Amino acid sequence: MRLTKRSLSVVVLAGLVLPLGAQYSSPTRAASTCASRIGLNVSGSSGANQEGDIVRHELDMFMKANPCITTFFRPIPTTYEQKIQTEFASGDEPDVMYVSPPMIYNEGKAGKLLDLNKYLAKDGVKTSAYIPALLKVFQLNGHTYGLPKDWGTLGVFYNKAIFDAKHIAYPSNNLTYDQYRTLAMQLYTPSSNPSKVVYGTMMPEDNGRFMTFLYGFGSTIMDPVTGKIGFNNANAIKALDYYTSFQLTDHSSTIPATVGDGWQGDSFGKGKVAMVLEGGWLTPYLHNTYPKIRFGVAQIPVGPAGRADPVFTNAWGASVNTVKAGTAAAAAKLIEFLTGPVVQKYQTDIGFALPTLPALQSDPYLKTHPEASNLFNSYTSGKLGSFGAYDSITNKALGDAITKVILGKQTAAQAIPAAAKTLQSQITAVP
Amino acid sequence: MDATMQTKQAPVPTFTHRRSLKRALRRNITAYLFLLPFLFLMCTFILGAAVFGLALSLYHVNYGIDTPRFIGLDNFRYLWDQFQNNRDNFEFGIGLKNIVVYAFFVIIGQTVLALSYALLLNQPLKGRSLLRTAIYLPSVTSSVAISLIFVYLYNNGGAINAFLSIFHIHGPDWLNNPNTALPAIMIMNVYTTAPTFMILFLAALQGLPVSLYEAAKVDGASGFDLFRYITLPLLRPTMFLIVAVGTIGAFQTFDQIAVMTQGGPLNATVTPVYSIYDTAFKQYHYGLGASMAAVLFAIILVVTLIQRRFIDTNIQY
Repeated sequence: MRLTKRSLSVVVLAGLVLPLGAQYSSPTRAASTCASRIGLNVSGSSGANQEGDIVRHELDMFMKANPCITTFFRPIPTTYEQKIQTEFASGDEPDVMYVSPPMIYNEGKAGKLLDLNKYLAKDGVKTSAYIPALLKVFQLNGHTYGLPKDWGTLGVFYNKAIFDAKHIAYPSNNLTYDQYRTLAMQLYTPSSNPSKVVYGTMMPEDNGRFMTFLYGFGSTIMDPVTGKIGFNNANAIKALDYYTSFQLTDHSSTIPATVGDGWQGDSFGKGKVAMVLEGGWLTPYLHNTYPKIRFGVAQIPVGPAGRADPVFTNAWGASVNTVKAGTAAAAAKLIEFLTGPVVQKYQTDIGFALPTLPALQSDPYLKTHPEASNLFNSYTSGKLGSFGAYDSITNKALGDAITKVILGKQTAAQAIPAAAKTLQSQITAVP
Repeated sequence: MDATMQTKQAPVPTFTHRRSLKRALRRNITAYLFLLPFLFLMCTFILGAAVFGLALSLYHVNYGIDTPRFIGLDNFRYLWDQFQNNRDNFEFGIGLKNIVVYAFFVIIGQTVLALSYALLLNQPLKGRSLLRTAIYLPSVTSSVAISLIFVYLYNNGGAINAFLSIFHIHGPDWLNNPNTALPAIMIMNVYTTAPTFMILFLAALQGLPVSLYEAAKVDGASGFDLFRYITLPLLRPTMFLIVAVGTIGAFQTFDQIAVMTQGGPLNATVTPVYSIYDTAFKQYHYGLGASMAAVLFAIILVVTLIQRRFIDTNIQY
């Protein structure tokens, strides 16, 4: 009986301890030749989801190749930037971590992130191997604080069934803004029954979609380095007029909430809208949630000022404290691996993300998946999709401007200067 | 002589006196020892945090990034300047304006509804226990869960608009229309908070002296008279408590906003606490956020004092 109790205790204890151990990537048994073992804490904004599993797998790949370095994965599933900032404040930040663009102007500017230039040069890693528009996001004053791990941009996702039913040709990669608007009108199917209305497109009240038209009409948005507002001009007013005309003039567009959805990916999956401007992240979502939908992806329309694809990206970077701890070289090695060709090919081949290395343009997956290659090929016209420390306030000011015009509270000519004024007061006046 | 007399009159601590003093001291020490865990937690996480927050409001702080810099009252000057010159776009100012409207309607709504519930459940009804449970249920449900449920109810194609469409009423897009978003959240808040206050009213109703009612009935008072001239006045202390707690709760509204609207559309549902969160944790202006919190504290304090003055709680019966 006593023995049974003891056995039970062992089992219970093991049950408690083993799941804790499972939080970490399992270190590969080190080769006995290691002079010293190095441990690296790694964090990313991923948890118990597909991305978390992918990171764990990539860390295991790294440890197999580098048996003297052990990594411990500590995912931060929500409010990543806020959490990581408190960790920096308490000196408890991870050694290697996801670096978002705003972090370059917070932690990077304050010298809290490791400048990778020296280590990249030593390891023979060329920064020119990365898509320049993406790399630039993580560079400040000549320092490189992160290497882009993957990226996304917008494309026109179209529902083939709706196009076929209307006998309309699928959109090409060279749609003009006028053609896109006409297409949305042709695809719009009104009905007295609200649940049967099919909208041509959706133009949500957020800057994530609107920014492509700001760039497309020739406006800039915000300089993340100087905080100079770039959208208070006539081109931005034209962009806002164009963006809101789908809903106000043509009635060919609406917002997801109007049709009872949280985001336009759901509206698209349910067949309530024929075209949406979304990123590569929509593809796996559609495959998992709406497997029956037949869809294609074209590049976003070309504006009067040319093609402008906002790029959204994150990087792997490291804490500057790794220098003191003597682990900076190992941290850099891990970053180079996680953003290098082996890992990026793996991520591309499983359809997880677009690679940041143009050399992977000829990857078999991209060749056989035109929806992914169309998005990938936009990298040559990539524009800044984030605005450093001014990211959230810029997006909010422009999102509010769209809402004001949609609600008829202001015209585009009034809303754009008002948004610029609001933003300016937030940038300059705060003590 | 006087001195001698005074010396004589001075109490001489006897053995018994000393023993009772010792006992009292021991009793007090025991009491404080029992209170110690609570006092420690209160001093650390409430008083300490409040004092720290107040000190923070005098600094420019961006944790983990810059070294905190003392800037005196600059954060408060900024708030005042924005309130005067940028009122239409100043989120915290808009939040204060919203919360006054919100508090006014929510407090009236929840007090009236709580009293109605309490009066109903104070009657000897059949299935009263079941009814009490049903009414009280929203209060014990997590506010995040309730908020998510209401997001679906308020959805353009949700249950509320579906119900309205039966009567050929085209319901609004509740949470995406600046005119209806705040009222929609108010209704939800009244629905979820009223049952908690109902308990207080119910307890107070059951403690009212029966003799007063009997005397009034003998004098020919009607049911409404009993309610108007006996129940309501005697419930004043409870009402003050409910109004005060309700006001503080309304001024601190955050979770419903964070879950349902994030302050939108067009700042129509932004509240002071949401604005503080936005300033401190999204824009990283911790000092400014702390100064907003200090202003909010002052406002709540003044409002509570005013309420105390107008609702006389000194009832003797």
